[in-house]
Amino acid sequence: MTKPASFIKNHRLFSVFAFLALCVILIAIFAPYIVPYDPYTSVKSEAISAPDADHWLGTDKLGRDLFSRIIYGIRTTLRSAFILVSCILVIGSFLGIAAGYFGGKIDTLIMRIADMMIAFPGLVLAIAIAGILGPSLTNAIIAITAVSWPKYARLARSLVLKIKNRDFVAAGRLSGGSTGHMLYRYMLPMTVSTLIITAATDIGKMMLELAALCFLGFGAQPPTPEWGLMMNEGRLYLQTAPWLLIFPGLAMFITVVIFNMLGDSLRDILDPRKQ
Amino acid sequence: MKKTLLKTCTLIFVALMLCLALTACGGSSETAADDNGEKVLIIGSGQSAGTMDPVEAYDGWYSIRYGIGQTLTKMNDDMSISGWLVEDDFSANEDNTVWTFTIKDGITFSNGTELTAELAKASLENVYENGERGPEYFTPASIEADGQTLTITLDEAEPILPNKLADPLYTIIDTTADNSNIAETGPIGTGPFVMESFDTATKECVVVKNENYWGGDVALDKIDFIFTEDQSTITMALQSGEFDAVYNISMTDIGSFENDDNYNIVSNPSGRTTIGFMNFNGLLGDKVLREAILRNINKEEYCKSLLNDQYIPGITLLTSAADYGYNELKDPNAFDSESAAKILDDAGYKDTDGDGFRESPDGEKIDLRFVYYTGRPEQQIVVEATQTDMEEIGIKVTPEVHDTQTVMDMQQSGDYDLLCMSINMMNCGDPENQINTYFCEGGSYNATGYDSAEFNDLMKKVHVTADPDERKDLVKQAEQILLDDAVAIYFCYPIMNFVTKSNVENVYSTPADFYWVDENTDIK
Repeated sequence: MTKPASFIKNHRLFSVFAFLALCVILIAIFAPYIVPYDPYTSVKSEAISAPDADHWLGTDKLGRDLFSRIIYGIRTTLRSAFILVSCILVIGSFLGIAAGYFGGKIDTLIMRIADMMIAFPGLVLAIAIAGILGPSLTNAIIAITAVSWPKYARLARSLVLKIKNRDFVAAGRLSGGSTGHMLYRYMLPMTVSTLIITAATDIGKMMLELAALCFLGFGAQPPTPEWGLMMNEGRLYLQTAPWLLIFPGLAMFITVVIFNMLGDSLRDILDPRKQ
Repeated sequence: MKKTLLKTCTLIFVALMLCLALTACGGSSETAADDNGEKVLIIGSGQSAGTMDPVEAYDGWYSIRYGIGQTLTKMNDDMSISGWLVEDDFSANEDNTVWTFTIKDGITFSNGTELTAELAKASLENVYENGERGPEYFTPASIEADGQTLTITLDEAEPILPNKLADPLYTIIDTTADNSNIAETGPIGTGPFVMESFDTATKECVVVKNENYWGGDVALDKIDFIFTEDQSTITMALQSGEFDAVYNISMTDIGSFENDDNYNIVSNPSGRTTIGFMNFNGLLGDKVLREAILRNINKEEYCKSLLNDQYIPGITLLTSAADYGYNELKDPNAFDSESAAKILDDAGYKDTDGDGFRESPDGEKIDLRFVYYTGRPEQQIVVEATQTDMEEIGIKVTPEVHDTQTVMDMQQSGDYDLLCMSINMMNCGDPENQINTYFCEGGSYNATGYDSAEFNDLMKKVHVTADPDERKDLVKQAEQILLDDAVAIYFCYPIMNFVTKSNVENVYSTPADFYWVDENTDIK
């Protein structure tokens, strides 16, 4: 049996969700070729029409094709979720490694700030930060980054503390490795895989948190096709045009499930206890 | 396998429990009489007072809406004026500079104090001492009180003084009572209800029966006015039975109540206009840009397709429900998409940086902030529709939502490019005051920087003209100037409504828009 085939056979769950995730990413990339209408063009005479052959998922309050907007919504959601997770990963890891490696005052300072952030309910603090910064998708990403990095910082710190006093690290230092070299060649590689797995499992959660902020009006602004925002707009038509709420919600649900399952199965594959 | 099955079962169980928990949050409640056997009515609305002091901003509206206060005169449904706290025989001298009113006998404030001309005088003077909008209506040279006779003398003619006195700004309050914290404790008025509490955070206001009401027995024991700007919340609260009546159900939801015997709908065309104010202090100071905006807004389409035909497309400043030139005046900037783009091209508005939006002829980026609130259902729709329509002609518009009070403050300070506001232009049965407030030089809500000598002169003439036909004619001329100068967007005229449970009687929707309840309001 060839290598990929045996990999797929051994990791069915992962393969299925990796394939689905790839499909979602491809849909996002090729959105302009998939959508039947421009997601921003409003044909007012067709506002709030129910799903039919022309508009598969109906139209919204300004007569924009809902299917096209949901497909474009994948772009917004994926892009912002990936940026968000990358920001948290980089900032959290950097601060955590620094805290663990240097210890002392730097450790105390970083970790006490982290404790402060963790002491608040995440989304509530994010709402407060987004409220102060003003509503926009960028600010929503900043707000969620501000409340989510401590998790990564704590993880990175604990991993660094575990290896900091090992012999090979001491050997590296004795053979003249500078601080930068030690961090880059020793600390980072030893922690990065665990951190990346954590990040992968977090993608779904981050999508939901971003959508929550957008739903509350603190994130993407009209006319951006963003699922949380679309659900908020649809809420006003819950009784007369439920498709405005149901379809973006369904899209959100499916995407989050795919990325959560992908993260979980990735963790299972890389889990040392299972190997 | 067994493990997976267990997992699935647990998941289903948790989901079921969640559903149960959510169902427990719903349920209907009967509010006809509470535990003490009191008749309590709960009214939901997307509108609320900032304070309960009637001379602050437009807060006087809520003294009247909540049945706490009354005015000397009252506007009828046909926009005529009759006496309320005064007899109908009010009269003026020949040149309308001296007006005489007779206060009705036997009127008492809710604290038992009898209303005399002296107290009415003190209340009117309070408008000028503690409020700022009085001079936009009229400035008395002197007010004299003699028994029940109230005489108001003016330096210049005030032909429609009785109309002006019907404005909630002139709510008659007992100035001898302790008004040191009137913003929160509310005024002592003559209305059928007395304020019990006003929550400055939630804006919930509870009023109770005025035992001393001069007009007879008050049917209800208590009314609870609950405020939320969220349209779907007020609709669903009415459907779930939590509210007994709701002011201004949105155009999307009104249909679900229309053929339902469990609800009554009271509606009327109202004197309101949904206006998009344009701030001249900024890029909109250029008439070409304003004209282009106006020409690319298809108001008929907005009203028909987006607002469910619950609104009438706007042309003039004053509603089609009043006879002020809706079918006569000519809008030089009526919908014409092609010319909108053309005048922008001709004036040098071009997209020089390739971002899909035009820059001003000086190369300045255009991004117009369109401020609005959600307390009225049409606003978000017209603002977002305007945004998409402006994008078509390459003008960037960014909607910015705030709560109603903030938007009113922003309107006063001029902190906007475009601002959407629903204004009852006919709230005195005559548009003079509101035009002064919003469009004349020095008007307390005119921060647009619009200042046309010709327009101001016309309004000064309106101010002293007594003949109703001549007044109308002058107002029409003033409206035409506003149209020619491309001053504001007149989106639409709303049809206002009050939806009540079928057992609720005498909750009103009137052209004045501030008479909601009275002593006859009841729940069976």
